[in-house]
Amino acid sequence: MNDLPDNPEIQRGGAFPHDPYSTNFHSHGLNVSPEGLLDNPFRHMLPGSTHDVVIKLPDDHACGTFWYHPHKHGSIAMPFFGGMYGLLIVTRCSDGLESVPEVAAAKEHVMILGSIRTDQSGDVPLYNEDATEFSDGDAGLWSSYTDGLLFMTNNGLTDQTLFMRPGEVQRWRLLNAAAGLNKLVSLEGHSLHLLANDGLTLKKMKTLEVEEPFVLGAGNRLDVLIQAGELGVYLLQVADPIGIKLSASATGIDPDTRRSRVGGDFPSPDYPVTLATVIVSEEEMSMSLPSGDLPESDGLPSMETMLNTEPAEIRNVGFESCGGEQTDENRLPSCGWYYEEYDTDYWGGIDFENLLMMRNEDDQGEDNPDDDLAMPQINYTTEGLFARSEPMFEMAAGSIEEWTVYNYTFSDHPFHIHTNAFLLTEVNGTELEIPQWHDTVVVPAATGVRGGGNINDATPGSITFKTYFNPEYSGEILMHCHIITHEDIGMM
Amino acid sequence: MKRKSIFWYAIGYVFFSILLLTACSDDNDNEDIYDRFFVEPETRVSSDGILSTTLTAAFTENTITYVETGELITVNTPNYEGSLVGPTLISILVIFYPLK
Repeated sequence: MNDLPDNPEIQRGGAFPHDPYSTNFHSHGLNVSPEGLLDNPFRHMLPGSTHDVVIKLPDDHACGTFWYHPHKHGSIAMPFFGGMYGLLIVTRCSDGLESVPEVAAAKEHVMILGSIRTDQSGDVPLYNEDATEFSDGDAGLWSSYTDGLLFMTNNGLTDQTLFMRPGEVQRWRLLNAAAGLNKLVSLEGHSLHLLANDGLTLKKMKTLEVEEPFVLGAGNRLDVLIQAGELGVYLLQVADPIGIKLSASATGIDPDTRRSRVGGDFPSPDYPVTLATVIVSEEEMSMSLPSGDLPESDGLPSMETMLNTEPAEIRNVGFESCGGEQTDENRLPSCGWYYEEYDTDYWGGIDFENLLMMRNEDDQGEDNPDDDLAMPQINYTTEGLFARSEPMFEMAAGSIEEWTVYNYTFSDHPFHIHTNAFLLTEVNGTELEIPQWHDTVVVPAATGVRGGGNINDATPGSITFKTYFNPEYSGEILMHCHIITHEDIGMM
Repeated sequence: MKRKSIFWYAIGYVFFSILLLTACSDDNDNEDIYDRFFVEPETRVSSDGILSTTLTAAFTENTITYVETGELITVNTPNYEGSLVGPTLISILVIFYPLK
């Protein structure tokens, strides 16, 4: 039921953010149809209207920690600033992690880590309709938030307290529901024992070093066991990603962490941020942690099938950024093309200088014969900004494919694809010791010439995965950057 | 390991002891006290394989502590069901699983 205010009568138009109070429903991690009344992100639910969402889970659906939020393109970020999201838990008693005695015995807590953003008066304002840049003070898309407030919340609160007993094991279901901030989560004096990424179980529980943070990308979930140590008070925190010596991404092989660039107009957190005060008190409990293999998630092909099947197609995707402080000499070849395709009309009658896009990296295009740096260097035949009428790829239902997503920017971007989970096999060209299932993974930034260097000389970050396009759930499948402020302007 | 100082531990222990005393006066057991102070979203659980529920999206006011100043701030935000986090929807497949 949409009881939000009416959309503004006069809007900028074009591909600029629009219809701020329209909504719809998207579920992360549900392996169901992307069409009809199910997990359909193309539905348009106007203010004052009521709509059914009907989702039938298959009997063999994976159990796990999933979530839901609105996904109306052009108006997703503002609901995120207000806390409009929730967790979806699929469970049963016969298998899944609940069949592991040590997990079944653990008390569960849900921790939804939000980032509520308002202006100084506590309101969630509209984007700047006159913006000419993504981030540039008064001209910036989100300039109405520049001097605003940021609340780093845990289940909607900033002052949570949680009690444990010495030796007690608890299962925490973490979700990073921020519109863009990646969060390095750690608990003072304790190790995180990782069970599942994005609701899908790891082959074996992975134990991090004491106080080693876990990089929870925007949109990521983590099922983790905590075993309480000695009597004391410990802080569950989000660490400053700059200056961290130890870090653990979902893969454990990305040691270089950076602040996520949601947009320069937003206030940054005052790190470290406390998510909860954990008090270990009272009598000791005798509980243990699991050992050995964890049960594979249902509803997915086996890891062996995925790894041993020759991919039907190998595809490449690129996160790219154009505009801002780039010069003619250091811009990507695609950027000149942007000026041709995404002109004033495209942005609703006002120039918009920044392009945040996903591109088909297999499109080689054609060199521009004019050799004019102000004009396209290469003319690509497929779009870089979101256009529903021009799908980037057409995959065969029932096929297994291998994709690599490259990051040609100097900041991290979380890659998310709807409908089917994927088996991550490599990060930055390095094979994972044990592949991991995900629906969202942070693609590391390009490296080599940090701080405004020439992106063409940098080494792009990358993730490689294999994915099975379940024929039961064919249709239009979205993929996008899960920094929602990027997605809203076309990085999809 | 960066454990908090003995001082803060003592503060926490005293605080917890007061909570327990309060609990005893309300005839609640210690488990209730453990759970009461960590606030979690409302849960909506499927029954006989069906979860039928309504989510209302609207602007509502909530109060939240701004940690930088300690002030309690009233925010007016778009959200589900009037809360700064929506309800947790729990789908139980096949047979009933007793949630902890």
